[in-house]
Amino acid sequence: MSRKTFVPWTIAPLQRVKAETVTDPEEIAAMERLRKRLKRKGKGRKTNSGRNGAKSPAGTSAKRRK
Amino acid sequence: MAVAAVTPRVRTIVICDDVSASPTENGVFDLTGVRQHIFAESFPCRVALSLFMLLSSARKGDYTGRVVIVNERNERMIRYVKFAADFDRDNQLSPFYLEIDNCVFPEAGAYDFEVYFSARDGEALKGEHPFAVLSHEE
Repeated sequence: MSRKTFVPWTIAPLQRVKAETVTDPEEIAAMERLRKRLKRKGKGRKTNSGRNGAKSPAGTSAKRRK
Repeated sequence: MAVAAVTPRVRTIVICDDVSASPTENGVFDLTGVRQHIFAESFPCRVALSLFMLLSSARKGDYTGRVVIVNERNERMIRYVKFAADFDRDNQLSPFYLEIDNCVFPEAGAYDFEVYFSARDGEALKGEHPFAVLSHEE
């Protein structure tokens, strides 16, 4: 079994950042589109059947005996 | 490589009133008024909040982060801000404290703070934090 190499993390000092409000309508519209796209993807993942929205490859699903 | 893999990772999100570095211990921070909710006297409710985030990045560089506050009832964005996150070296943990003035909550209900990071190929949702706005009338 391969061992993970330990990489030490360095910790930067606390940074105080002033938030810059986005007012550009194009940027706002782009973010709205991104959120909608991610939401659609998320819906695909969560289904009542427990499947992740992807079809199972042919021949892998169990068939009912007649 | 996927956008999510090359952008910083959001390890911690804390919504609070104020953040300060500890005067006695290096790398230790005091968070004041950590909250998951706020009580509003009236609406629209205008508040200033601080967002403490612990970010990590395997690669050094400058990244643009975006925070979106969303009203969960109608999925509308009520606030959209961006900030710069700089990592001086590879494998760095970086504590950030983002001041968001003038957060205007139009009504009582559930809200979501979403954190995105962008790379050349697009944007990725890297963290979410729920937040409730409660009315004194309830």
